[in-house]
Amino acid sequence: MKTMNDPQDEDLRRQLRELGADVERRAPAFQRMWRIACETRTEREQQPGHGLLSRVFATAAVLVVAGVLAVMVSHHPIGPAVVRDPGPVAQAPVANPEAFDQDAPTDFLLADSGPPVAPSVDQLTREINTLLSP
Amino acid sequence: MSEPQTDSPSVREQLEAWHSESFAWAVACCDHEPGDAEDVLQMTYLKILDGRARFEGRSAFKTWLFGVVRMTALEQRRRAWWGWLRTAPVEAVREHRSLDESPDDALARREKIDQIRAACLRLPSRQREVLMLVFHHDVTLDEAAQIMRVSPGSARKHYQRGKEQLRAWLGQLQSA
Repeated sequence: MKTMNDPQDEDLRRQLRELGADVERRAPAFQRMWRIACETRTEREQQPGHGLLSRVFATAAVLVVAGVLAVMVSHHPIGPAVVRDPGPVAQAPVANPEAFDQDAPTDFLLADSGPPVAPSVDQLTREINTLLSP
Repeated sequence: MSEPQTDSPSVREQLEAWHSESFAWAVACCDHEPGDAEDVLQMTYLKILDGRARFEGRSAFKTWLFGVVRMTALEQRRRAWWGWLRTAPVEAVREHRSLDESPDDALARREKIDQIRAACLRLPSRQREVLMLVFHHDVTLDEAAQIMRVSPGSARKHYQRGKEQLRAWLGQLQSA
C-alpha cells in the first residue's frame, strides 16, 4: 500500500525530513555502540550463571518445586465440599412489655378525666406480639 | 539447528548502514529523548548479537530492524530499571552548523526544528510513528504497519489523522 502523492503532503514531508535529519546528525558513533554491545555479550557469557549449567540448575529447581507441590496435594486431597450447619435461624425480636412499664414522674400531666382514647402501651405491646408470633 | 549468524560481517555492515536512521527511529519511539533512544539502540544491538532477535529474511532488513527497535523501546518503557546498560555517557549534543550558515540562520533553523518537534510530540505516539516512518524513513504504509504491528487499515487511519492534525498545528505556527 503506497501513500498517494498529495501535493499538500510535500510540505509536511519536507519538515519531518528536516526533523529526522537533525536527529540523525546527533546519532552516536556506531563503532562505539557496537563495541559496547560486543563487550556486554562477552561479559554475560563469562558470568558463572551463564550457559548449560545454569539451564540445568533452573530445570532442576522447577522440578523440585513441582515435586513439592505434588506431594502437598497428595497429602491434602481435595475432598467434597463440607456443608456447614447454619445453626438456629435468628428469630424476629420480640418486644418486651416490661420495658414500657416505667412511669415517668410527669405522667400525671398527661392524665385526663375522660375514658382512655387509645389502649395502654402494655395492651398495645401484647397485641403487637400476638400479630408477630407465627 | 545452526547458530544464528548475528555477528556476521554482513549483519554488522547492514546495521552500520542503517545506524543513523535507526537512531532517528529510536528517538521517535522514545518521545524524542536522545538518551533513552541510545539505550534502546544499544539494547537492540545486544539482542541481535546474542540471537534474541534474528533476521530471517521474511521482510526487508530495515523493516525487521525498525520492528526490533520499536519492540525494544516498548519493553524499555515498561521497565523502571533501564539504567543498567548505561556503560557510556550519552554524547554531548553537538550543534551542527554548516560553514556557509550564519549564526542567525542556524538559530532560526533550530527554532523551526524545535517547533516541528513540539508539534510532533503533541500527536499520539502511533500517529507520530507512522508519520516519521512514511515521511522521513520512506517506508510504505504496509511496511509501517508491519513495523508497528498493527493492521494496514489501522496504520492508514493513524496516518490520515496524524497528517491532518500535524498540518493544522504547523499551519497555526507558521501563521502566528
